[in-house]
Amino acid sequence: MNGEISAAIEIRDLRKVYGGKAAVDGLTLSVSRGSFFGFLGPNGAGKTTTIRMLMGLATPTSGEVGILGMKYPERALEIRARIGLVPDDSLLFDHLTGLEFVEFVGRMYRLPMATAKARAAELIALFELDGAKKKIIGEYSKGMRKRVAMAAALIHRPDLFLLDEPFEGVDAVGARLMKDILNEQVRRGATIFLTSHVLEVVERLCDRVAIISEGRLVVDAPMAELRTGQETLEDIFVRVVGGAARTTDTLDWL
Amino acid sequence: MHLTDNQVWAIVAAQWRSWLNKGPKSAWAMWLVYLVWYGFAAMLAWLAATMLPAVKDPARLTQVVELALFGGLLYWQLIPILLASSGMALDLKRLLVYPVEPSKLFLIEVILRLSTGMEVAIVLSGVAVGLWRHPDAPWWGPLIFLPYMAFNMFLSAGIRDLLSRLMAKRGIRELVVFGIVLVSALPQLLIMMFPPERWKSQQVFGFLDRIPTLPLPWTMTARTAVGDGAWWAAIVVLSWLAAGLWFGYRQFIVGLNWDKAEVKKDEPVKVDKPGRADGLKDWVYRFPSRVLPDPLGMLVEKEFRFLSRASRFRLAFMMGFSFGLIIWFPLAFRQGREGGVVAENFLVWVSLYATLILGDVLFWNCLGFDRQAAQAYFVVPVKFSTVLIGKNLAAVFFLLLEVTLVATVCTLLQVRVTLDKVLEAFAVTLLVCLLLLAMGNLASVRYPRPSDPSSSWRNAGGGKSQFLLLVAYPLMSIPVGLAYLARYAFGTQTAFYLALAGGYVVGAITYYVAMESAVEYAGREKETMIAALSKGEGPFGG
Repeated sequence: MNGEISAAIEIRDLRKVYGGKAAVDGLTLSVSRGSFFGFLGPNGAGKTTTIRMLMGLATPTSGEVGILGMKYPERALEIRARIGLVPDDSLLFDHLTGLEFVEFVGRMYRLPMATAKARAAELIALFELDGAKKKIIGEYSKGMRKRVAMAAALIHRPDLFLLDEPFEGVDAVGARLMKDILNEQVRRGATIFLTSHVLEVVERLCDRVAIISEGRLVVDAPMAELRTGQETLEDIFVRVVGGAARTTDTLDWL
Repeated sequence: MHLTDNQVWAIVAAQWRSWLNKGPKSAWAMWLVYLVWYGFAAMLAWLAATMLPAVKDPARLTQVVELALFGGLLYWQLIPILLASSGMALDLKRLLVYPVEPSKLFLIEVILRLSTGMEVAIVLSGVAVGLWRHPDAPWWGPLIFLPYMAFNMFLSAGIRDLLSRLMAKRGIRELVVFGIVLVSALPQLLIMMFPPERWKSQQVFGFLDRIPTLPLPWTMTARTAVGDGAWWAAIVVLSWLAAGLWFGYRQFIVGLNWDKAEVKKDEPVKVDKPGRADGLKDWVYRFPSRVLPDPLGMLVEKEFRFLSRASRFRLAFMMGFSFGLIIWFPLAFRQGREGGVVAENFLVWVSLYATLILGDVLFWNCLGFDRQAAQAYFVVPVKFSTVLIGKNLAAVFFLLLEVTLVATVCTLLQVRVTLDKVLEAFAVTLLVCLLLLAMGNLASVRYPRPSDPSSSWRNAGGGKSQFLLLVAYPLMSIPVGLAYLARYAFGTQTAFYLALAGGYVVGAITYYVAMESAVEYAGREKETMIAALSKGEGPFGG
């Protein structure tokens, strides 16, 4: 974090303990600027807790988090201003239309109203949501909700994207569009921190991957290095998180 | 930079759009409720504005204004606690991800505190007009009401934040409620111990006169408002304002850094070694499945588990028998009033009060309270009527349990609780319950409101449902009222129970018709219902 150009995300010995149990346990990770980083793990591994700490929404029990060379809580507002977040479903406002929500997010990032309006309209068109202009988000399908969340994350042209399952429920056309946009963002120098359970997507997009299991880092390597063997990312994932042994053989009725 | 290029403006505009997007259909009932309720406050304001100029004695004028200000403070700060209803508030979870300065969020949060004290603002406006019309009061006097109002808003914001955090943690939540019950009961208990009939007015006023004038916010505001010449009183009011701001802002900042998820996860979960208490609890949970066929048995069992784990239900249930008894006991059994209507029918009275308290969680919004499961009810192969009956049976169980608890505590307090009175309490409560279930089922499908069962506080209800409450409670009391009228007219319990039986017939027919209608509506409008129960509407919490 002391270098001339700091990493986009620098995590050192991060721990978060809930009720005596560590949700994140000694995580150390560095995500360089301009990279497409995949952050994987089984359900309950600590991914969401990590993202909450990266957003400054949860305070680490111990350890350090640096974002774009800045630290929480002193520079929380500056950090948030430079992050584009595609959160889990719960942060959308269901009684706003997609256009209204994207404009709202733009204005929360201090864009002038006219700019926020114009950009919101362009993004809604780009994500092919203008057909549902009059629909409120509560009436959107899951894929449409993800698309509107992605549109909102782009409106202030952030330097770092934190994407929590952005492709969940998105159709092939929408997913292709989102991937193209994200690759474009990486080319312009933005950093992407992606969590996804769709390992094929991660394998195709990410240049570096980390896997956590039970709060601990078990893999952190460039994708090129992981691909050298015969194993796919899915094979590696299943091997390191230790879930391959279970089959339905024991359930006679199934 | 334009005025509207502002985050505060953006949040308010987004909320406004959310309300508009709900459609004009839902607005009429809300405005009607507001008209009736705030019309009443406006009437009080009008009375103050017309009567204050007639108060000639300056000391009396100060007392009256002081009383209005103190009453306003009590209403603003205490009523939300007693009703476990916090009014509107920011949904900070959704807003914290954006780079918004905490001071801006605090500003909105403070303005939203008007939602629990608008009535006070209206009445104080009337007092201000009354003072302006008063020949001896200075024109600038009532302006001091503005910092007093702001002080109330800061204080209310601080109390809300503090209580929200305290009530999130199991154990502490129960202690807080117990503390609130004690504090609320204190004046009642004092009056019971020292009945006013035994007060000697001269001694009392002599005692009150000996108490030095404390620089309390309402006394100092009143003195400034009537212009009694004490310039320092205004300084004291401004100091209270500063203290309120400090308290409110500090609580808000602590709340911002407070992680509710962390508190929930920190609560111990007993899974490994269930003890005897857990075994008994599980036996109670499983009981419906033993006596009822599935899927009804499973549905009732699920309701038992869900409700007993929902913070808001637990709080309402606890308040039902604790608050009810503590508030009504001293009033009913004050010396010289033992033979009053409330004392004679104490058990019925408290049981009905408990029913009222439980209304929001058990009857009026049973799908909104259980919104996570609402969608599932439409995809599982179960009749929707079975779902509603399952919820209704659980509601009846918990209500009867509440009445049993009330009766037990009354017996322990040696209140005259005869078997006859216990039967009467059960019979009356069950009839009201039947009618509540009928109307509640209709309300739950027609006006479902998303509600968070894990939050002890409840925000303001939807306009239509509030309107329904205004109409429904008087309607539902008619059969019970007729039964008591029959007893009064014929002087026998038989007449009472016969009239009550008639009420049951009406109740059963109403329940049947309402159920048919609710099921038909739910089948036709399930998409609208599911959309209405979607997670959240706008920047203000739901």
